Amino acid sequence: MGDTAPVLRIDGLVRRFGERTAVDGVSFQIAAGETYGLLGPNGAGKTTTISMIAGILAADAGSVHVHGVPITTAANPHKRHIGFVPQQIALFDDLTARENLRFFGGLQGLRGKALDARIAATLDMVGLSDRADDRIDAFSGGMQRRANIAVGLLHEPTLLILDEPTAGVDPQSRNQILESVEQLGTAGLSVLYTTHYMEEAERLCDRVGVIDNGRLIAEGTRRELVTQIGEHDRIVVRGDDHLQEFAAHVRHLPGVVEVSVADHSAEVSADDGAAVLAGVVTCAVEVGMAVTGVEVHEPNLESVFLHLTGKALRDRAD
Amino acid sequence: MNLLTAVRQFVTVVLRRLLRDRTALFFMTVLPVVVIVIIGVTFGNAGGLDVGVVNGSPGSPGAASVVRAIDASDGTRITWFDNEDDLRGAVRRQSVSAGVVLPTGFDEALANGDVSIRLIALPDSQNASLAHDVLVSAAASVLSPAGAARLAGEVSGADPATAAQTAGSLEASLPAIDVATVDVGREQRAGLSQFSLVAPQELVLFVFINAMASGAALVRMRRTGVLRRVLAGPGGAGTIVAGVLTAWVIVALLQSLLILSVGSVAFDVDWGSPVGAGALVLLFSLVGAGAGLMVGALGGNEDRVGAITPPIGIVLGALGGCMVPLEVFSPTMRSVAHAVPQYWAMTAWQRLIFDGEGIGGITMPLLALAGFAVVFLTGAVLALHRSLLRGAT
Ligand SMILES: Nc1ncnc2c1ncn2[C@@H]1O[C@H](COP(=O)(O)OP(=O)(O)OP(=O)(O)O)[C@@H](O)[C@H]1O
Ligand SMILES: [Mg+2]
Repeated sequence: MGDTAPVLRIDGLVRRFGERTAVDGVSFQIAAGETYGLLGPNGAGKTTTISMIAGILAADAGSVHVHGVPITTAANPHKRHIGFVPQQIALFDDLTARENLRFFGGLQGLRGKALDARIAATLDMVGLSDRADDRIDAFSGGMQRRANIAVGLLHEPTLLILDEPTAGVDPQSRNQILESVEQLGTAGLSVLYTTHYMEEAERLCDRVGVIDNGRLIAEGTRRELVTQIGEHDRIVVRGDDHLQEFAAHVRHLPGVVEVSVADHSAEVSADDGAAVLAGVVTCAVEVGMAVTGVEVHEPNLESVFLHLTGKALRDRAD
Repeated sequence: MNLLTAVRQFVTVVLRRLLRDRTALFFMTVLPVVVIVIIGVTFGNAGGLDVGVVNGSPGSPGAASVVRAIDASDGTRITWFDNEDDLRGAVRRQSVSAGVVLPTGFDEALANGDVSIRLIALPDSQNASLAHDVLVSAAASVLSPAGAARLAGEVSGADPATAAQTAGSLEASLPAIDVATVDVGREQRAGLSQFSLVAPQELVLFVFINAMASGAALVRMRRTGVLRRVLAGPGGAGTIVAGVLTAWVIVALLQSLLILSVGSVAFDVDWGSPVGAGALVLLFSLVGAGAGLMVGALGGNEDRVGAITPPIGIVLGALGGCMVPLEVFSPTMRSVAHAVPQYWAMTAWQRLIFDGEGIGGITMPLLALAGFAVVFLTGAVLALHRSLLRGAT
């Protein structure tokens, strides 16, 4: 297990179900402490990919390495490094949260005081400490989701795999879940996060892989992806005078791609809106413009997806 | 990964859930005991006489008359047997009160004035003397002048005058019927409880049904993703099979132990050789748990599995001799019965309880049960592999 090996490396994963190829040659890596988002619509192949990574589904081709060790469906002590949180609530609903954690913790080899301590810490992390001894079937949907996540964190994995952990969850629980994942990422855990909510991918993920029809069609940071499809950030500066003069100055700022002027505003296109914002505002002040408003528009992953596939990430009904 | 640790997790969870499930507990503990009481008491206190009959002269009017006369006696019921061995077995297991064997060539023997009808009964039993009385009076009624005339008429198809004449000659040759009480075998154990058959029947029936119905829980674990989650841990699929199997075997053993104890304490059942009984209970628990595992691995819907396993268990139980004694089966039915584990379990119990055999006397049934366990477990492992790892839906 070399220190230099990425926490997760998958190469050319393929999985067919009958005639359908659910996952078609997917490869990517996740570095230590990185949160990687797998973004794609329903049926894209996210769960199938994740299942092969977690070693619960046999791959037709390709390989999975966690800390450099190959992972398959066979028993393997290295699976201890993986914390797997499935899309479903994979818990005994007639047992309490604590009893469920005891069961799964025991299967991970935890026992005694160490197990008790981990259960307490994990329940605290997902905000269920006061409901530890309630049965899962007495939990709300959001609480069940959080208990589901707790099981994945119990044994202190180095790679946490979350399959659409916020699906069908109320805004409060959703926010709590996102905050937990953010904290875990900050604390140095590697996270593989699947979702079809682009806001979640943008908020949580250092890098995003866009998956559609079983293929990884693009990969990178949000900025890289946006640049890749030729989209730019837009800064709209509102004011009534000196607009042409402002435009002439701004055009020469490094990082600015294009400037256009309308009746009561000027629009600046740039690769990185935040980076040029200060320069843009300084220009406006220098030309003596009475600025009434400044807005920064960053193209989002939705537009990336639309651009790459010609379709929306999810149905409006979602 | 320590397999034992993993197995302990499954055992804990299965027992914990069982203790929380009142319905399951009722079916597991109360129901079998209640059924034993009901059936045992019904059979014991019926006051009637179940007479097993082997008719060596089918089509003979004389033999038919004797049977009709037995049937007409107060409180008797007739059960037919194909051969004397089966009848002896049934008498020994007290599934019939006594047996009657009508010889071949009954009518000719009757004409010669020398008919020998064998009565098979447990020596010195109350049933033996009761059956003896019934048989003697049945035979006598057939051979009384009026009965004999009727019989002679049937035999020869002659006119009433000729018949009366024949009857006269028959009467002259009385006593023509010799009723002999035959011991049913040297192995017969004395003083068996009236629950000696029903207790193992219900033990075999309910342990299997209960174990097979547990399959629903496995279907649920599969469908909720709990099993996949276990698979994502270090233990792998072997953990699941070993864990669930061990847990269910323990449950089946606990249930068996309960029925065995209630049987011997409350109903005075002597289960025979402890070693034989122990091996039998253990193997049959393994068979039941294996069946549950296979059902759980194949089933698509826990409610459906929960609904169909009890009737299937009842049918298998009936085939295997849990409802009526194996001796009553026709030869065809008995061959079919070899295909169900309950048959082998019942055969073994009968040998232990009624014949006083030890573990050596039930080797064949034990081997057959081991075979069933292997088949069920192999099926379960293959099906689980298919549904979990191959993602078949
Ligand atoms: N066990 C299976 N048998 C047959 N087909 C399957 C199976 N599992 C997945 N598929 C198919 O593979 C494709 C990818 O499914 P997958 O569950 O990986 O998508 P997903 O990206 O996770 O979708 P969602 O966002 O809805 O969860 C789908 O077309 C699905 O129908
Ligand atoms: Mg999915």
